[in-house]
Amino acid sequence: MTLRGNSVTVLAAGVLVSVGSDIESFWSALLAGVDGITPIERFPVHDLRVGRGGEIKKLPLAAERLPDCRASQLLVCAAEDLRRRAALDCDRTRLAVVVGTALGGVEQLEAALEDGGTLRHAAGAFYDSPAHRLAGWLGATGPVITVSTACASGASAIAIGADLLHADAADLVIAGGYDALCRFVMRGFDALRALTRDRVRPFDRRRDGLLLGEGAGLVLMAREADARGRARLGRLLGHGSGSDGSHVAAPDPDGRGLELAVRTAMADAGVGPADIEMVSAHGTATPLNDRIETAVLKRTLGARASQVPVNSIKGALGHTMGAAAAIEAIMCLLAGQHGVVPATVGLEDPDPECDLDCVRGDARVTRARVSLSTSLGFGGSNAALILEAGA
Amino acid sequence: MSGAATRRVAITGCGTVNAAFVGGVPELSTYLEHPESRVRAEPSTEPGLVASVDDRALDGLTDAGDQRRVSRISRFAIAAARLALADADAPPEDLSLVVGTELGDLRSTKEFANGFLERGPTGLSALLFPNTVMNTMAAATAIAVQARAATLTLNAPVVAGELAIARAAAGIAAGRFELALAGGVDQIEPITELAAGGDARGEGATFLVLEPLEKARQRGARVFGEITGWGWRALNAPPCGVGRAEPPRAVLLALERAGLAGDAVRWVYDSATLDRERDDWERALLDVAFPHHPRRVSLGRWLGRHGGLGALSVAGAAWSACAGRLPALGGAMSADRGVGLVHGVARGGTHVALVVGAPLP
Repeated sequence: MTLRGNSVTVLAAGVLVSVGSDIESFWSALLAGVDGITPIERFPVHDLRVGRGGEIKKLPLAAERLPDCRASQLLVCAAEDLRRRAALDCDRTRLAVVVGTALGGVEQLEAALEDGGTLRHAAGAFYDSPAHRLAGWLGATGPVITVSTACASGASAIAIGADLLHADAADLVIAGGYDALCRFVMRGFDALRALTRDRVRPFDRRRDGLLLGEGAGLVLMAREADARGRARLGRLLGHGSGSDGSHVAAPDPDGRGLELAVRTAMADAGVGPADIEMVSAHGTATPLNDRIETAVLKRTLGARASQVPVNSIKGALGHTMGAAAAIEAIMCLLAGQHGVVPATVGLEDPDPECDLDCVRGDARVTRARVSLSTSLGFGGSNAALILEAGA
Repeated sequence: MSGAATRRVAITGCGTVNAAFVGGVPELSTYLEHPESRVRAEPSTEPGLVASVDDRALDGLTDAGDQRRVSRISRFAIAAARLALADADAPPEDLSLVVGTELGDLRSTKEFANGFLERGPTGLSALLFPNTVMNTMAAATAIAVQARAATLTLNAPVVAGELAIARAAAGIAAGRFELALAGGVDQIEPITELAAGGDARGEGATFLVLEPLEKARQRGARVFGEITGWGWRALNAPPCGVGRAEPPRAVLLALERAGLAGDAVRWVYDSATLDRERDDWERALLDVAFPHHPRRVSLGRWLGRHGGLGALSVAGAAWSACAGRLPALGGAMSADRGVGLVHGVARGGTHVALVVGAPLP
């Protein structure tokens, strides 16, 4: 491993998902193999083909303290978890917020349409409002950016955040992703027949689709030089992205965009296949996605692909869309820190076509300090992150 | 790809589909010499002031497959992207795409939601749903022009296009991107309430081709502008509201990066769009930044607010820097060649500045 000097320090993280409302409960649930998929209760599902998902049943902060739109609530709760672990001790004009989302405040738009066509109360959720609300909550007046690469958005936001630090456009960056479950998005994936009526089974022979989840994941990043002497979760060593340019809703069958993203991230980080000790796969449990990822990991990691533990946490959380990549990056750092790779919930009968070393059953104790996290999004957006725990 | 690398950022192409004209740099130059406002009062629709694109402008720029498969807003983006690449005579290898948009494909989003609300489960459309994701225009464009490197969509009111150009310029300078199409796209929807200021709404798409200056010269490309500085920040303002006059840090950052003092800026392309409260705020910010009151151009007053406007302003600034002309109703005026600023500020506080000049040796 010959690091390229592109790394940034990850000082802390915050998370909110169905299985945990902070880093500790999230990690404990992943190790215990908790299944966070439940019947959805927050909105009516009687007229939906599938009414289950990774729903957050109770927010950790009192509702009266929070903004009124769900997307902003998720972000603020994750940020509060983060803020308990690290001080935002910089000039607030040098504190940046970069968040990714696939669908933003679409729930407010739908509510507005149901109310009879007025869009007035959607204004607080549309545009880039959740990011600005988070920035306002934190008092951040550095760059505030909302990015979308669909379900790779969380990774793209972390990558942009790292670039802001390198460009000296900020001293601290809070970056990550969010998306909320709502009827609109449930219907959309239902229309695509992408949702399973079974459980989510990444890399399993019986996998037949995904289930959606909701949540937010945020990391606090700083330049290496500014982070000396501070407690840290790890480092982002490099990142890469690539576009399929093939279809608006299906991944490229050859995985060309994902392959470019992985190769670019590894080159950016200065790591080779032998350095990768764990892979957090996008692993949606759709027949095509998991097969493509397997092929791409074999091409990019070579013989190492069959030796590296691989997992997908979408079996436990559902697919949290714009939040997924950020939450998975946090999981990678925790896995490396603790030397344990969480198992893939729902994986029981591995698909021979996905012949990777997928962790199933129990979490595996192993060295997993340097990890690769892959993400694929609608429209052929692909992203990859290389992370190192501790250090 | 180290962040320490800094490369000069050349503008080598422009493609636009807007309410006034369609084309590349030649058509842009013609329009800026004799601009006219395309903002019209439309009392039968909301918003009342609009500058809309005649769909016949897309004839020949999008093919039958595009018209069948992709939505109107994505066809704007595809058309402008193709025009920009042709204008730059740029090979598509290593092409990245950065798309700014305010509302994305809101029309498809509403149509999808209404399908279910009006007809229940049978009203769900699998074809429409992918268009509701914010990056749908970037996806359609990446497919159409075979952009295989990074694609990004940045979401912001008013200044989405400026933000996309700033991000792409930073990516070129840092070595992240080798060739980038950057700009923005929007289409008019009845969203007066969201606009909050009752300003002139426009539609269309504009993309610029950005590449490292050295590489552009090596391949013999025409360079018609250089982006030498950029900065973006959040100003204090309530959601959808405006703030007060304060030191405009995005401007200071952009000037610092360009190595210039404020008095070097001879003219400013601003983001005024007839939203009086927001426009007053922007004027106050610029007064603080530039006590010498450089001349201002507001393309948004003629073409309406939309995601492509920022890229069009950057292209306009490059034209002014090279031609020594500033567009004005009734005919362009003489102006100092040299360096200008593209400035944008949105309700809610997103603030962007870009320093644009003629390419120097």
